[in-house]
Amino acid sequence: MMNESNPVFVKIDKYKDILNIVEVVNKKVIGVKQLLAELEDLKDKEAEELNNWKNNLDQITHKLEVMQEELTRG
Amino acid sequence: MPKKSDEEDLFIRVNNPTLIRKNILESSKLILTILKQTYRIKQVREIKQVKINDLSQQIKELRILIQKIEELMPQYTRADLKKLLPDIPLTRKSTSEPSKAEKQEAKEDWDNEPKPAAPVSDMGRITKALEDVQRKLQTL
Repeated sequence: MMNESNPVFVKIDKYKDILNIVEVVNKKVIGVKQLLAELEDLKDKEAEELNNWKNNLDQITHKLEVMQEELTRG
Repeated sequence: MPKKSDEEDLFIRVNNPTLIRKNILESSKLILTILKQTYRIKQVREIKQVKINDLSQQIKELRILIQKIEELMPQYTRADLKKLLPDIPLTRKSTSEPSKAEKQEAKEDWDNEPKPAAPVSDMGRITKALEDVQRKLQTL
């Protein structure tokens, strides 16, 4: 646990600057969260496409096996 | 050259040609679908790259802003400073100029002081910054 330290005194102009920067930081953090959510969506979309890709390849493999069997049976 | 007669040709019976044709067509269709999916995955990855670059830029800006807040905040209270630097009086700086000898001494000190090596990469700089922050947190 962090100990409570002695207070420090900040000049009023610097204090206002700090508040302004904190506000900008808050807005940026919201933007970054939004970006992360978008990246998460894109990741899910990519995973879904790759999964479909794999399913389609499995289907092709199966069809080729059927064809091969049919052709070799004579 | 003698012409091959029809009797020399060999044939294999295919019992279910419709099934084979159907499978060939369906496989073609699936291959085209895969091509479309490849294109879509490529597009998604391009968008992702743009977003990652944007995110990286935003994080860099956030780091600068937080550093700025850190600079604006006083590091020590007067009591801390008295403890840390008991020999130095905490009064306003005098306006008198340092003597030539003092200036020369300070310059020599500056020249003799080992200069910090420049970080090799962004990763190196970030690691160093992280270590600094961790060190500061430990001292709190």
